[in-house]
Amino acid sequence: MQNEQAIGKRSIFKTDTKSLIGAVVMGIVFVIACQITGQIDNMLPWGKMGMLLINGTVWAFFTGILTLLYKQPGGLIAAEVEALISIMYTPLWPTFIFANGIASIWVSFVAVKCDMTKWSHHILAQGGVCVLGNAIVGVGLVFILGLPVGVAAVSSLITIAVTWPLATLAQKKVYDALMKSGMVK
Amino acid sequence: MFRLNKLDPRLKLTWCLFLVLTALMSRSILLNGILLGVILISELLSEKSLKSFKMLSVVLLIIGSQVLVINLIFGREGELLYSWGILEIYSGFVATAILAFLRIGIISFSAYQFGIHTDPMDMAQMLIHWRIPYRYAMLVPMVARFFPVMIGEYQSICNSQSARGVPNDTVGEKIRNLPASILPLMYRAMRISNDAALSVELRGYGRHASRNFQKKINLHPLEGMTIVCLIIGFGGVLIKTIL
Repeated sequence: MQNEQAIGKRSIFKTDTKSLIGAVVMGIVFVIACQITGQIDNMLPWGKMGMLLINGTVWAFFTGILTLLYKQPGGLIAAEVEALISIMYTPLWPTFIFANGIASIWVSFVAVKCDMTKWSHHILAQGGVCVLGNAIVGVGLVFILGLPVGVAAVSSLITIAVTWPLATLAQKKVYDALMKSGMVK
Repeated sequence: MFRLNKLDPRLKLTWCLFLVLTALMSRSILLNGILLGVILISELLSEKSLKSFKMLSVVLLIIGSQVLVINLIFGREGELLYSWGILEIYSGFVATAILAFLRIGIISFSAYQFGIHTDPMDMAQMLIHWRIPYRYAMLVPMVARFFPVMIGEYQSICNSQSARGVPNDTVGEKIRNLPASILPLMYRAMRISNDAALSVELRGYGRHASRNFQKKINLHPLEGMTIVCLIIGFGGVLIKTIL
């Protein structure tokens, strides 16, 4: 009984139907948000140079918050829904499959080890999401788009530097609001 | 008559993976050109037009032109052609940009072709054949079902904002309005998913170990042989690239 309670407190898994369907529907919202921010980025100077900073922030925020909300496999499902639907608008989709998956699993591990009440927990969670995700996308920039390694590395580093603080801020604010509303227990 | 949507989803997935992995492995412009041509011909034979690729082609042209410009400015392959201050243009940028363009074309068109010519129910059955519980496999048709619903919800939120006179023309206004359009969409998504979860549970979703389908997928022996040929073909490309 004590073991069950302990697992229930900080479990990595949540396999009820509500979580699974919620992950699917929120995954679609994730896609819509990424498409809108991608279009906004493309209108801005950095977007024309291939750096999607607002899109990257929204991607990191959604990957983090959906994993905290639906745990696993919900977080992974939502992230992979985004990766698979991105086939329609980017050739980098093979890297998104790995980046989204690894980022979601990272957030789950952080959420198991930390109670996500402090800023440091969210910084750690988003740090992994931004660094791992952008590193994988950087590999895609080299192998799929054929960009020079230096350009891909600089692009990834700038994206990490911008998205990490912004996504952490957004994740902490929204997570605290969700906790207050009782949606995350 | 050849129809892509009549083929088994496992064959289509193998074909898609063969194209994507071969495009990633090979550095031959000729091979990548042939593969892209095969995708376009198969689409033409099946659908009699390339209309479905129109939107994606525009996106790929934009990305391809960005890749060309970046390679022109930062590419360091080949011989130095022109130098002016810090700007140096090398001869290898054209070949790199063409290869990248063919590669992104193959990767995007093959996956898009698989997506538009495969019924979500067939994908769910394919996953069930791979021993994935149907509670998870059936999420694929759910994505297809809820995608237009959520797009409609987003458009209705945008229309509501417009009716209230919220300006949404410049980039700055679009960024400012982002939380005002995404947060209500998240709230609606939560409401819809709660309702949908309750509905499917009341209909017995996940109660039984298996699920019946109206139309079952069957792998024809010829399709099975094609899958084996594709795997052997990819093995050949892999060995040729390594050697």
